Amino acid sequence: MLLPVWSAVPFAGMLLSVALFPLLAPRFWHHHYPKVSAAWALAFAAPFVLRFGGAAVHELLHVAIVDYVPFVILIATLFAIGGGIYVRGSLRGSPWVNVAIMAVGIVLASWVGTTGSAMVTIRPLLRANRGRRHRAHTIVFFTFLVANIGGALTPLGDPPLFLGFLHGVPFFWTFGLWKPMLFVCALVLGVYLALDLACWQRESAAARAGVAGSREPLRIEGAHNLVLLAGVLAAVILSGLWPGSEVRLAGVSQRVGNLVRDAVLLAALLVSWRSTSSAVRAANEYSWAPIREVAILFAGIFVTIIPALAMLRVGERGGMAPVVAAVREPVHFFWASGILSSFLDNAPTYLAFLNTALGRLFPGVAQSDAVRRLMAEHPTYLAAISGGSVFMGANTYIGNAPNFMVKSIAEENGVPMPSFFGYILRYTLPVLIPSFAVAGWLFFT
Amino acid sequence: MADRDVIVVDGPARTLRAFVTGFLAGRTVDRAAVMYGSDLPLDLGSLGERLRALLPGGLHETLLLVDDRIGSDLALALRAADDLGLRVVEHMRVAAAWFRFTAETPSREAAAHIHGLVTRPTPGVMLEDEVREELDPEAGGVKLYAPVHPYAFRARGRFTGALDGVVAIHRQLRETDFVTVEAIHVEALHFEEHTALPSTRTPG
Repeated sequence: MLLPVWSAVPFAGMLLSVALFPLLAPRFWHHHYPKVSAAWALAFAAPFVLRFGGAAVHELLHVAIVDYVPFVILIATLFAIGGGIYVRGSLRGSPWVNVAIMAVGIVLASWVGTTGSAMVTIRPLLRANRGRRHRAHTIVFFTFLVANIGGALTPLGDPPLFLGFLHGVPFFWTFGLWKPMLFVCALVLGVYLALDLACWQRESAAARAGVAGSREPLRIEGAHNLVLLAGVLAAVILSGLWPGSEVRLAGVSQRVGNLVRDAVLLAALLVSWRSTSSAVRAANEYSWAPIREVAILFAGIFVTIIPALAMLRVGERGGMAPVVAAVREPVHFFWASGILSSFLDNAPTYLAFLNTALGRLFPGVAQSDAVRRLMAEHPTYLAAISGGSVFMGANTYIGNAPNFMVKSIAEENGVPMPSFFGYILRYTLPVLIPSFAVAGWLFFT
Repeated sequence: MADRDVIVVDGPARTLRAFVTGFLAGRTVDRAAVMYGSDLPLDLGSLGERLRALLPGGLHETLLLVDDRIGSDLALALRAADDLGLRVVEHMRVAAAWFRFTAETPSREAAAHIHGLVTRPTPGVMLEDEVREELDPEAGGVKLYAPVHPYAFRARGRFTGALDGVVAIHRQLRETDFVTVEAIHVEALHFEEHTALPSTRTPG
């Protein structure tokens, strides 16, 4: 099926809508994002089906059954489980306590997802720093580390990596990113500590003394959700190790192992919902709205991405030949996927560059074989794409879904967060870009 | 709260500060009786004046904001000190001071604090304002891609009044999160030696 370049316009429109509307017209976007998503999806799907008939319908069903449904189920499950955990207690927001909270968030991020980890750890961090005058920088670095970089180690950590898993990247393959992840985390945390130590000296004596009155001991409410999380982890790992026999759903090939995994995840979600108290959910301001957002927006993304991926997979013979030709070395993929992930959602960006690499190195080869060969023969490419997509979601508020969530929660708790450009100029450019430059040179060349 | 005179002095700033310190000590007057324009967030006037002030060898003028009870005496003392290189350029009476501000926050706690500041300013200061709260019940809860706050507090206005009061409220608001303040404008009446009628101008 040969698709013209302009068939990727709805994909570009969809990503730009997700990126720009929340900044430029937040109220319009809040009320009308489903319509915008549906409009872009139809803009591609309608002519696609009219032109290619049954083959197009099969392609749409394939992306729905193999990618979209498992993706939404995983995100919903991790969000429900993370939203069922609440950390109570008094902490004093000293630089070392803040570093410790962020370190816990970083470790959690790869196992409960960056969104879930951010949801669990942002409120203790805000409470600990309540009396401090200088707090915005702490939240920004939290966004860098917990809501983005920390999610690099497993497919549960960040949506791009789960998409890689669905496309044949083994569960533990991304553990290979531990060196660049640890390096960047250490560098960024070190900068944060130095900055916060300086800010700490400028705080009032009362702020440095910490919580007035009796201290509430630390405790975790909804801790049983950690057991459910272990179940989710086991289900995802096992689905990769034992995919099971093939079944056909509406003519689309799927593995029994994947269906069992999705069923286990849904069961874990249901158990979490039923067994977690409403008080914990209320403390996390839990609602299903974020899952509705993901489900609706990613329906549009997964439909509109079809032509872009198809063109990228055929390499320099296809409509995206200039893109494929322009990105050559692993470090190019690191920066290209990273820069685009800074401004567009990082999950479709990862898929786009994965297919760019496959199209460049194994044009025309079936995807499952191409991914296997990519890992065996050119693993640095995949590592660079994974690292770029995950790390550089931190570069702007629109780079990764939890970034806006963290900003909103912080502002509603009285922290004056920097503007969109203030975030980039005061934090991303002096801290993240140099860190990524060194990491790119050390690990992806 | 005291009224203020504006005395514009041409000459080395350090010499002036030393002179003023000595003058106040000799009269056992509190140091707060004299404020220096460079220490305050004042509107600097036209762009041309600002650029001239940046040039090396440019304006050596210092703005003094003096308690009106000692203003004339200080001006007289400075006129007598021309051998120190100090020259009184202008001596005016502050008629009013004002500044504009805006505030916007989704935090109810911050909103309550700002509301308290703007609706109960320092004595002698008046607020011309617009304060409003907005609620969007559909916007509640955590969001990922469509971040709209369920609550928003917005305020904008202008504080006017005696200089000391305006400076005090300006300092409070400047140190308050979610509030943006503009520079303080000072309007002064010009004292003419041989004219009966005062003229109005903004000191530069």
